[in-house]
Amino acid sequence: MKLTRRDALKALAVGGGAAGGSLAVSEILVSETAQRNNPSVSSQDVETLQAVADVVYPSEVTVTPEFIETYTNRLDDDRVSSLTTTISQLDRITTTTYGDRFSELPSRTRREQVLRSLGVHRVPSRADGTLPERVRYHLVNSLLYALFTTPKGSMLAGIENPRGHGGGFAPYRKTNTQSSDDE
Amino acid sequence: MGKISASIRPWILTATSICFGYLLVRFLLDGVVAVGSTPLTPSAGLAIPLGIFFGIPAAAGIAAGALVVGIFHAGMPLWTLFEALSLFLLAVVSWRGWTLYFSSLDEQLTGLSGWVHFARLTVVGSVGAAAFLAWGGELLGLFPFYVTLPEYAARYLLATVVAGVPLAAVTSALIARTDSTEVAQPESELPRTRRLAFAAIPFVWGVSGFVGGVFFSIRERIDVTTFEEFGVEFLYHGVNPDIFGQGARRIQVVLGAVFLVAWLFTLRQPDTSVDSGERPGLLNVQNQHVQSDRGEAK
Repeated sequence: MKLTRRDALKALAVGGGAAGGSLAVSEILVSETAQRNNPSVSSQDVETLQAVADVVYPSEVTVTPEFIETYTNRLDDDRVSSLTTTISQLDRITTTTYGDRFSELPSRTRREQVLRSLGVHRVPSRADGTLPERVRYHLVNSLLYALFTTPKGSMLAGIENPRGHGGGFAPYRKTNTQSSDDE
Repeated sequence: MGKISASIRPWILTATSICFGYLLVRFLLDGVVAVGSTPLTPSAGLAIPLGIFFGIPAAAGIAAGALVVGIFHAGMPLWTLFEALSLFLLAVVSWRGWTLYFSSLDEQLTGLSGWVHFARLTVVGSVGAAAFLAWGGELLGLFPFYVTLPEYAARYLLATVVAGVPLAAVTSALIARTDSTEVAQPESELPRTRRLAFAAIPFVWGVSGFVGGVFFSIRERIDVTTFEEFGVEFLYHGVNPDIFGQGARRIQVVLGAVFLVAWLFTLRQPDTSVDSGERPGLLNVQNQHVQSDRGEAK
């Protein structure tokens, strides 16, 4: 088979057309994804967040739906919209592979496998990135933030009075009492 | 049904049967076991052997099955489409790769050389199909290339080892008993560069996409001062996400399209062998029988 100049030009045209076309399609699709809105957290979303928390939280922590709701109620509409979109996509991708939503998976190990197979542990945390990046930002890191900015959660890391927590009078008094006793 | 021509009927029958078989395996066996964090998906393992033996009807049946699963589970529509296309590509590449590059049909899997060819095709096809899917993930802005590529290449390889090899052995043994294999054409002589390109493009695509993606991801996480310390701040400013997209998505999309076209180009039937006859899987071999029988009847 002998390749001619016409073949080379044909290959260039097809390659260039495919590259340009796919880039245009990609730009349109990515901008459309960013515009989706659903600014309310459903009970299913809370279940999924609870299931994610079960994976990422230390084993001694038991998560209740009330804890999740307290945190999500503090988020603004944009954050909630991104959060629900991410949860919906995580559920869909899990259902396609395992036949169940993320929160319905039979074990903690299986849920951890799903997060790892999505590469959540390898990607940077980003609010408007790819699905694993958004899962890391909106689900994993947000839940860790929610845990470690409460006194009970931060005590797991030896911090009694976490930064950003409105309170700390009791530990402050305790510290002062101890120091005056020492004196 | 009477209006459907005799040549299309077995094509539809094969595609439908394979589609049902795929659905059965997918719903019953997929995701039951996982190796590390990679779920075992035996349904994907059907693509290579069925692609080799049945050609386009197998590819169509498996892709249709994957679409049905996506619709049934209300999965992400465009991602489902890319998954289906990836399996279609895996089956088509297996068929074309086998008939063009590796072996003639009557030599299939009867000896060590047949299995070596099968293994080579499995590796090339799995990496290529995974690279295609990873490219789709970047195109949709859903998954980074460097995450999807190893995950799906491992899934396809594992699935083919677990489900594809036994299926290939059984199918090969069954086909060896029929007369249909005797009409297979001898292996076509293709230029060495084209053989090399067929095997190398998926790996070049995969490695460049993976390394580029990881490098870009690192660049996005590191501060400019670190680059300045090493005197390579031009890399920081030159490789800018505002131009190339987050995670170098735009470069991945453009280069992926070029690699895909180049790879598909290596699967074209060469002009020199057009007259010698194409062998699109066992089914068309049977069609040739049907047509020759009709000719004799006339």
